[in-house]
Amino acid sequence: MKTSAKKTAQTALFSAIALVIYVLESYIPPIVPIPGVKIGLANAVTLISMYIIGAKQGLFVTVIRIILGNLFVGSIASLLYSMAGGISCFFVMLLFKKLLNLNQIWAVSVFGAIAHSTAQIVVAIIILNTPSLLYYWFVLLVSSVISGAFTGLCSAYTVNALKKSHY
Amino acid sequence: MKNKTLAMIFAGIAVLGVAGAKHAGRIHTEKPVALIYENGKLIEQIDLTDVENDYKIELGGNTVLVEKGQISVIKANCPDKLCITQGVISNGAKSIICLPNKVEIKIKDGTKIDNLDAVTG
Repeated sequence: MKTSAKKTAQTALFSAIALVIYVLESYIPPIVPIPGVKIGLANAVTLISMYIIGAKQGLFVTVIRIILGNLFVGSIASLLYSMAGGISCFFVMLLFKKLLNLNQIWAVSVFGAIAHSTAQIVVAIIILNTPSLLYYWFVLLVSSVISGAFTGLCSAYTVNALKKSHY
Repeated sequence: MKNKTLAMIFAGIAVLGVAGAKHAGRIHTEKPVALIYENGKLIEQIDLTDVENDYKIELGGNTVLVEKGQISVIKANCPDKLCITQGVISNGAKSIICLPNKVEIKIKDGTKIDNLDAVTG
């Protein structure tokens, strides 16, 4: 199995970008007083690398960002939530990337965001054993649609610009 | 799939979310019992139906106000004060979580209190 030097370098670059965005985003004060509601800008980098480099590298970027990101600003406890969210988000986005065309990156991102919050709620219900979390799931659904569309549009513009520049 | 179809699906999901949150937030808890956790340990268990006069509980960095049927955080030493903006809770749908001080306040139904050990232990 050979991976070109270019792809390796790109994966490293995108991982670094994702990590910086993840850390910076943690400094943005929450808009709504509900844990879990956030913009999820780092996920845009996952989406971009999936389109620009490839699926496998996109997964690398996601996993590296989650592990290092939680070491920098999160905690070991939040690692499990992030991992469940990030991985399911990745595979749902990969699926919809195949189903939808290049003009619909924003929708791929929304599906990913929904998968992300749903997976986190499922993990939380298993760990905390509180059915009251259903309330948060509904709230997160709404926030996922909004934030997913936003980060999706950001990614779409970036992917198109990168493809045009023969990056 | 067309963009329009996708937008409709997402709008539908958002509406479902709003409606679901409204519905789930309104559930009635027969006999609300507030549980206060600090660092993951249960430190107070208050039957909110029995509260006659309002009183305050001082925790490490938060002040909790206990009233008849409801509970809230009124003071916090953290910068974002999320626990205060999470407001007053009176049923099992919502909980108050203060991440910086590791405080969690949730409400359980007292009639199902037998299950509590399974939840907290």
